[in-house]
Amino acid sequence: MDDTRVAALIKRVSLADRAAFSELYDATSAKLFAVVLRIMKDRSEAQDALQDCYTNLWRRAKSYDEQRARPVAWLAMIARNAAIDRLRRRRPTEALDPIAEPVDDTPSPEASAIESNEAVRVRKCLEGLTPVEAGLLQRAFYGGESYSEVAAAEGRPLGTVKSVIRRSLIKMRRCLEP
Amino acid sequence: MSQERKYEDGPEADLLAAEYALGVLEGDALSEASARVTSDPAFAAAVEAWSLRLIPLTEALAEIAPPARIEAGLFGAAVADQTKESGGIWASLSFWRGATAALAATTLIVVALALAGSEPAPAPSAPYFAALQADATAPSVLIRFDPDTNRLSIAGPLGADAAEPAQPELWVIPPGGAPRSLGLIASVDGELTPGLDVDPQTAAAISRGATLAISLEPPGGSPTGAPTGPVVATGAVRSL
Repeated sequence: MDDTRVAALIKRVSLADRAAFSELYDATSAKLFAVVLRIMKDRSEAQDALQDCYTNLWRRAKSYDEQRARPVAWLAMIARNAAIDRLRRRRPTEALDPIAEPVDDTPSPEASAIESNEAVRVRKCLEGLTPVEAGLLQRAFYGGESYSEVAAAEGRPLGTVKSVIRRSLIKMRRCLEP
Repeated sequence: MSQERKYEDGPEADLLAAEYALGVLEGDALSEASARVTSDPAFAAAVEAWSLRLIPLTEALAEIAPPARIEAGLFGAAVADQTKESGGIWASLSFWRGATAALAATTLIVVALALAGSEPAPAPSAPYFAALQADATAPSVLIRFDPDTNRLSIAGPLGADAAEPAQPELWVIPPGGAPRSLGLIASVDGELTPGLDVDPQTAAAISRGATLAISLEPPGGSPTGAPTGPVVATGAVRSL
């Protein structure tokens, strides 16, 4: 995805340009659907989240600042937030799936070929964590779960989960610092 | 780590921002962070920075095309949302669905209609076309009229919206004349009527120089025989 083009589309969407919105959808929906599906795990719920995501985009396009985020990262952030909001809303009525999904985020060959420098850095930093730290951090990142939910799902003490995730965040911050 | 901690500025505040962005907080820490996001711009910026920091992980995910119907639902929702925030003619058009996609599709439809019109037939009369818009930048409703069969074909971004109890009615306005109804072009629940048969008398009014217009009328159509609701799109009748 071409950053310049996507940034220009977001700019036009911020001016309520529907044609640009449609173009942005065509250019990005498969990527963002992958993000929300990874979080929701359920196809039909992921579809609702994707709809939320683009509705939010339509409203929030004005707040996009090219200086602060690459367009694709910003879009993925909105997608993740939309999916996690939905997970939270359904959570009180629904029991969590206690079986942790195996996390396989090894990039496909095509994905690694087009990976951004930022992605390469984040992945390198992730590799600097212990497997437990990296596992819990990714679980939290994609799971939208609170500390106690992660703890329950992983069958680990709450205190341990908290300190492992905090430690991994601190390590990531140090590793990613410019 | 079960004791409560008070997060001040510095690394601790940044860690709280990270936990908040990650979504793992609960209880008092969550309340504190939520409150701080709205009251402390530096904290809000730290949350955003953290939200973006791990996002590149998602680049590894392989793209998955969503079902096509999402797009329709989505644009309906976004358009409806937009109409709440802004006035103008489009504000009355919440039943005008799929509007964005239609712009991109316009060219294709024109080509398709032109091709359909060029089918070999014994000495056919030239069909008429009109592209009806609210304004120059709005999506078009495309109309093709075949004077041999008095059949009118309609294509464009009309869709359902139960919230709007109105039906779009199509009118022909001859130069200097009064509008004459060509019929309702969508059902009450917004489903586009793809074709209309026009009675020969009214059909005679559809010619170069005439104008086609769509107004929003009560269910069942205009009670007076003239447009009573807002005119939402107009276009000149042309021949190729």
